[in-house]
Amino acid sequence: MSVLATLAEPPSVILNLETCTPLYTGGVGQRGESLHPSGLLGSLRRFSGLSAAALGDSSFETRLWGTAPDAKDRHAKRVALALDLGELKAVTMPDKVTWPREDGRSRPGWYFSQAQVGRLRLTLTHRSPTDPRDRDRAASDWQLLLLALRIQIRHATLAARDQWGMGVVQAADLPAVEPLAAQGGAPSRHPGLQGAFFAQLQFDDGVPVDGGGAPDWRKCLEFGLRWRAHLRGALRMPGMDDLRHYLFGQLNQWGSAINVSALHRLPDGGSAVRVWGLVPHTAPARFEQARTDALKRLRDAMDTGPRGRPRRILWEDGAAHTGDLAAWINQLAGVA
Amino acid sequence: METICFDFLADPEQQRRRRERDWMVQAALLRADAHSPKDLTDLRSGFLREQALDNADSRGQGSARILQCRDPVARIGFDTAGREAQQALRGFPVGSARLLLRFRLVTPLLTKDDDAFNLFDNPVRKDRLTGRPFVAAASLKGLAADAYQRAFPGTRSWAGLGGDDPARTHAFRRADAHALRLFGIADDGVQAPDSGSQAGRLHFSPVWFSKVQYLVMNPGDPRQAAGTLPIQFEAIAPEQAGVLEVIYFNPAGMPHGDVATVRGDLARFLAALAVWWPVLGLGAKRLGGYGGIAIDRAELQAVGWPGLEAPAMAAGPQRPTEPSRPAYFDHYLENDAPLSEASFQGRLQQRLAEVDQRVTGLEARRLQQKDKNLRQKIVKELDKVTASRKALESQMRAEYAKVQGVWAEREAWRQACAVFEVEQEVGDAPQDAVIGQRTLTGHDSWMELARWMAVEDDQ
Repeated sequence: MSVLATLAEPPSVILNLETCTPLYTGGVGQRGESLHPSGLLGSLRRFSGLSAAALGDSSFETRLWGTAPDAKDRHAKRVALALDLGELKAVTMPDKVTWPREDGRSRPGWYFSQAQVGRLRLTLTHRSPTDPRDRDRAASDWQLLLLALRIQIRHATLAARDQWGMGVVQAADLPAVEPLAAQGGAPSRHPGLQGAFFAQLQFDDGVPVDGGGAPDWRKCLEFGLRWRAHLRGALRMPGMDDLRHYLFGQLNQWGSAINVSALHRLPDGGSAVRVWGLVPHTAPARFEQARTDALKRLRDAMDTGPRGRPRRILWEDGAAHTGDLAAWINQLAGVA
Repeated sequence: METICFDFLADPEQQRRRRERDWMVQAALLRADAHSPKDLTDLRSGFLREQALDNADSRGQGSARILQCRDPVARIGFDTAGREAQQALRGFPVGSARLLLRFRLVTPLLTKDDDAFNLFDNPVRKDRLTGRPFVAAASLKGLAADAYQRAFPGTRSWAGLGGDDPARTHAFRRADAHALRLFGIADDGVQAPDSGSQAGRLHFSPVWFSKVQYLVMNPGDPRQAAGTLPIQFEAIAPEQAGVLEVIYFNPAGMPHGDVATVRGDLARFLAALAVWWPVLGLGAKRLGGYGGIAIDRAELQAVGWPGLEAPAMAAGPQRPTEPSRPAYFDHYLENDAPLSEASFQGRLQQRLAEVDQRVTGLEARRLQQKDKNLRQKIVKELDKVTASRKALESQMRAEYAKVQGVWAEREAWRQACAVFEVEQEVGDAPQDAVIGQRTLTGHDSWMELARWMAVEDDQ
């Protein structure tokens, strides 16, 4: 028998992704000249943790993704992320995107530098637990991670500045995974997919392109940012300032709960803007009572966009699936 | 040599001058100027703006710069992976082998150093003498052993092997003869009936790099769903090649000292690295995507293995060339050694006295000579002899110095010859025990070489 007969290959899942809108993870000078592993991992970790929280599992994130070495309840990572970024290239973004506002007030606009477009490959490897008694739990964690990855790729965004248009990707082959069985547990008190909504605004026109046929990112970004401003404006009502700032972000106060992508291509030649968010998105939660009204205002605002109504709006709200969030996760992941 | 010593640390003027031109010195010293957390933050921001960014603006934003480290390592022979096969394996027993595993870093590599005085809390590990970043041989051995355990986990669960990791490692290697030979075992106080250290046959060398960059990570705060205080990291920059040198010392003639055993051991070792390192990476935060590698090339060099080609650069060791001796060499020797300074001075003065004697004779003749023409001839002769005195003194001093130099060269040559003789004696392998090599390139090269060593290709 060959000495290599018992060689155990890594139990890995390979994701071949292609950017639909550029990816950005900052950097020491915030110029986005390359993609940083921590930025990608952070967004994968965060989104998978949201999926688990919807099923009432608030320890999933540290169990799977590990803790700091000095944590009391210390866990090593049960998953390894390897990146192949060789087919990404840096593209220069417009320095600043803004336009004259209807109310005549001057606003600073949104600032960009560089971001990454092209193909990237993520290899996620499942590290089996030391103790065989943990194997069932580890297998279900891995299953949930793959479901979360599918949802994130199909409906959400990756990496940073996704609230301003970045981070939409697509995959030719999503990882195969079994659907979740029905779950009886209540959602965790932590932010989770039970508070998420996912929308896709579809348009007939294709994306604006530059002279070389590549997307004109200034126009694509501006398209999405105009939608963002439009949705934000839907909460510009008396007594809603704090809520608006909470949902759309405020410097040094709140991160944005709502992400609005740049315009990107659809396979049928049309185009789309992806909008998704999490309400509430902080722990402890804020504005829980205002969620229903706020989301209704956002949904209604989608019917009357800044430059006309989309040809089609796909809308999913976790609040409508609280009775069976596992089924909703399967549905979002496309494995139902 | 660019080193930071205590004398340097105590000399403010030296520090100022070096700080102005050397980013590594700045990183090593600026922390001393911080008297408060705010000072430290400001110093770090200033350093990053000036050294780690191109065209930084007033907000500290700019494109990240790749910083070149000082590069004396190759010159002083630290980078052992650069040695020729003959140089590396000469004198090794039959069956011994050397692997040169080349890879390319595809993401930044973090190798945290214990440098409490560095401006940043997370500098990469650098050689104390040269300042060159490297991954330590001990770290590489640990990463290799980890990959091996994952690749060939055996039939028992890791947890079932013992109460803690040292005990589990001990039990694992006792149960896997390949692992025991490859990595050896350190008892580390393990209380087991078969405890006791055993040296591994593998010898790892550090992997050297030359460029670093600065990174930032920004942990999130769930209360605000936003970033907190950024943490800066120094990292070995991606897109650099690294070569891991691993030498397998085969105790030929001892149990399990045959070539087939070595091939089997190395096949498993290399296969483990080939399938696990690209997905797990190297260094700190490797599971988070840092220290990612792409496999480039595998080179095997081995003593007395059948089926290997002779190395392209197979110039065998040559007997050292004897330094030539000038014709006057023996004239400056005394008791089979160069003249002492006193002896030389004695001889020099003796020769000069001979000349002086001629001068005295000529001077006497000049005074006695009545004929004007003949007196002129004597004066010319006197000038020539006086000039020759100076030339003689210069020549003798130069020859004496030359002989001393040649003597030193010949002493070194004699010692080199002695070493050569010993090496020839030790390294004289049987006729068929030549050092051969096999080189494969491409991302499958490590695995292909592992399969070849496992004799799956050839049979």
